[in-house]
Amino acid sequence: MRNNLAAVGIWVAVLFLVLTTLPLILSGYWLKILTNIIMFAVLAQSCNIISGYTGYPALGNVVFFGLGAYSTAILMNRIGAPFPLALLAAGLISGLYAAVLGLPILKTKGHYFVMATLGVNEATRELVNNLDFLTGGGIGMSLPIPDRSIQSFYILIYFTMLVILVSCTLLVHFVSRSPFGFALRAIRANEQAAGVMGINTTLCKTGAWVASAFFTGLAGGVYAYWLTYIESQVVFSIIIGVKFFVILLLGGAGTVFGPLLGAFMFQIIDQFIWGAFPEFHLGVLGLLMIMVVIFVPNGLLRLFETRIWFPAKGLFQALGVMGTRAGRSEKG
Amino acid sequence: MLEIEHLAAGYGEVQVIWDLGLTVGSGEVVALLGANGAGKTTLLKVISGVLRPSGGSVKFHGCELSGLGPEQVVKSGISHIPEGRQLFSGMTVEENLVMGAYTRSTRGLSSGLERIYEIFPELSNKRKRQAGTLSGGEQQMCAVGRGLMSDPKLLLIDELSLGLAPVVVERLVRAVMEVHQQRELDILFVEQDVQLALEVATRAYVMESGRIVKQGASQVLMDDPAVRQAYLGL
Repeated sequence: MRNNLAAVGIWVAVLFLVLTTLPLILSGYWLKILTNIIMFAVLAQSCNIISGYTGYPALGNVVFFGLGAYSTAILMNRIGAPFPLALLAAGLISGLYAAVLGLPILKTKGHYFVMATLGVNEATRELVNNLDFLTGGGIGMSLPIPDRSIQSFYILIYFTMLVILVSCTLLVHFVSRSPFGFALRAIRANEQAAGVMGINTTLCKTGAWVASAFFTGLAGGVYAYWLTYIESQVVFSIIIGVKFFVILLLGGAGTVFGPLLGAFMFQIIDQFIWGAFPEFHLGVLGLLMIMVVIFVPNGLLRLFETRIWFPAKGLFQALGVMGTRAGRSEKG
Repeated sequence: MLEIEHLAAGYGEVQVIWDLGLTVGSGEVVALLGANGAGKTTLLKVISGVLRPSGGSVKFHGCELSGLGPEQVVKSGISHIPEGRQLFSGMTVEENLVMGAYTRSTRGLSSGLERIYEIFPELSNKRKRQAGTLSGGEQQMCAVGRGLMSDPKLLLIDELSLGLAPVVVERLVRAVMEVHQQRELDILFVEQDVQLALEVATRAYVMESGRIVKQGASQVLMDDPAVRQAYLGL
């Protein structure tokens, strides 16, 4: 166990070093790709809290992305709030939205929960479309152009996204080893039994969804500032929702590093394979989803853990240990 | 000390329990008998807070329980071993047991675990195994162990013998009775095996279509011609 943890420490340090120096060397295009990967890793990691650990498939989580984007845009445009403040508020607004919606919606399960979250997303988008005076309606919204060089602005965006990813992943890491994380896993395994064990299931589920919404909202806010123009068709797009869900499944739901691995793998597929199918890349997305469910139902992280053929098996085993290890029994 | 008075409960429009009264005194082991559909499981669900009653009162050591959620009922000292075990099948045996102590502080957790492993040594060898991969008997041991982890004052057991070999049932019953004697643990249990139930319990209630139709000391019920005919086939 100690060797594994040491290995994780080294790998995480290397990864961190690469991720912090890379943007300073990369050209604009590749920096954009990298920022995109980090953003989808944040979205998948947020979704991981409610879907991976708690077992509630929040396909419509993209609603918090859109909400975060619009909150940031409105606060910066209409009130003139500085970006960091607007961003934080956007996260909190998304979290609040989840808290209010969670009480009724988290009573549904499985397919019904998926449909309810999709419904919330559609309803919220329509609301945004029709509140013209606030959101600009169908025209969309522009954000203030930052007064700094393009390159340094994109680097700033990249690092903001990276900080969000690191905090989100740290949160998942600590939650996964805490009694709260234990409660979430129990809810996923058998919700009624979890209640009988003395877990306040409503509170735990809602808490998980609020955390998930908070980070999704942050990612949406950074996205809005990054592109400096948003429209409801894009930021509430279900394609984004499907994409981070596939990433989560691909990497490994319910593991700490699965979403990160999934985001990188997905982007590689996106770059080198989808480029060849520009007309029906949505079809490829669907195909990928089916293949993941059939061939790697537990995600790549767990697959690499158990198969010998992969050269970095040790790394994935170590990462898996961090992801799935319960850890409470030893604390006793 | 559990006191139930004029209890009414059901699922939506369908009323299952009618004006029901029942007590479990200190140091008692009480059996709840009755045919399928009599409302036994529903009654246990109401006591543990999984189901809200539509009327009447459930008092535990003088505190009103009806209307409280399951997590508050657990904290008041009642533990429910549900029908069909309801283990967390994707979690290990030890994690399942730890879940049972969720409402308690982590101090004393390892000694609590050791106590369960003493009662059921089978579980000790399999503590890292997924609960879903255990045999039926071991799963029931795990469920009983999990129920005991919260160190309850009252244990509700729903069909301990469900689908298990008689030998295994005997082990489980003996284990539970030992805990009953060693610590002040009262027990209310639902059981289809009437013979077994009346041997173990001090008192018993017989339920029929949501009402208590008979009650008394086990010995008295055992000799009751109606009970003998209806449930023992004698």
